[in-house]
Amino acid sequence: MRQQTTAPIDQIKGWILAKHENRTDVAADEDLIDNRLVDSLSFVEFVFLIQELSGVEIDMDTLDIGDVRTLAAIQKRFLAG
Amino acid sequence: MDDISYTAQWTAAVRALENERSDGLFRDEYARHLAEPRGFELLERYQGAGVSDFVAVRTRYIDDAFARILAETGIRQVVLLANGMDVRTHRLDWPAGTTVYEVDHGPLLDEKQARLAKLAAEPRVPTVPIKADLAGDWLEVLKSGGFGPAERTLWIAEGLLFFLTEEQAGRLLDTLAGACPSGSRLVVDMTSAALLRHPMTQSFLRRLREDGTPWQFGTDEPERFLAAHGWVIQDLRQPGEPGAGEGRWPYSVPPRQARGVPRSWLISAATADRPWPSEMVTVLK
Repeated sequence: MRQQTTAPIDQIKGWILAKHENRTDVAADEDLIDNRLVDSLSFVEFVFLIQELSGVEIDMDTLDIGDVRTLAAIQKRFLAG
Repeated sequence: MDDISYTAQWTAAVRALENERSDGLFRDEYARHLAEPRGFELLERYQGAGVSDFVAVRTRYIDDAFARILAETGIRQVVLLANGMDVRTHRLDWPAGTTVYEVDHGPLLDEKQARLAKLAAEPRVPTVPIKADLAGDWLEVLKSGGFGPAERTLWIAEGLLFFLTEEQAGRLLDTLAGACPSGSRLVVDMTSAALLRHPMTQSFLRRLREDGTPWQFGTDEPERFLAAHGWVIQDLRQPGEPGAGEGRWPYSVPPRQARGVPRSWLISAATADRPWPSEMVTVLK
């Protein structure tokens, strides 16, 4: 695995795949919540990871769930630019 | 059986699966027989919120708390509140001289007794069924069943408080604190207030509402809530911490200072020294 050059979105995908050994890929538009790739308890760690990789502070109380529902949405909202 | 009794079958189903794991946190040989008819169906219906892992971790935490508290304090009067299809009376070792009171709905207690009788399962401790509704005057029924209000008591309220309103939960804790002498203990679990409003838990909470068993109460400040109702926390853990499923809980433990996080609390508490000054109660409330 490439260490320093792995794009943040791929690190997020890698985190999901590490928790779901039966999966080999996650599509950019796949609903992570409906498909139970992220559940209410892993969600906290998931949001901390996005926060860490993006440098954007995320308030759990005001977070719009739509912003983290797919890898594409995460890319657009937190990792673009 | 009423709806709350079906949730007793649900948690029995969790214990049945745990019993069948080679690395299970505890053994419960009876759980599979007590989970019928709806336990496994509900397990499927409510999956995805970490509830199964939580029930397993909670069961073991309370088993351990039992052994520790009874050994350390010499308390020999134990009251299990709405413990449903739990069979600690049959599966744990108890110090000589202990009496256990099980307070629950009559039909549920009868059903559990009938199923255990079929298995020829005998309790390992003198056990007194107290058929009463916790919303009614259950304490009088408990006393008439032999409970000694002058004797130090270990109360267990497992998987109970979130089904109550905040006011009911507070009143129950007040009642427990007032019904036993100083030096008594309480083992209880709660959920965080944030869990009840978190967007990720809403589908799970909606299913519970649809099934007539809504979760209604949680607190982000368990120390404060218990203190306002006569109890001082001696041990507070989140699942995944040492002594509370560390190594088994499949999630990271959120730091306490992180706000808005769905959590569960596993708690051992003791009666606050009484009489406490009324101004202190006011401040805590």
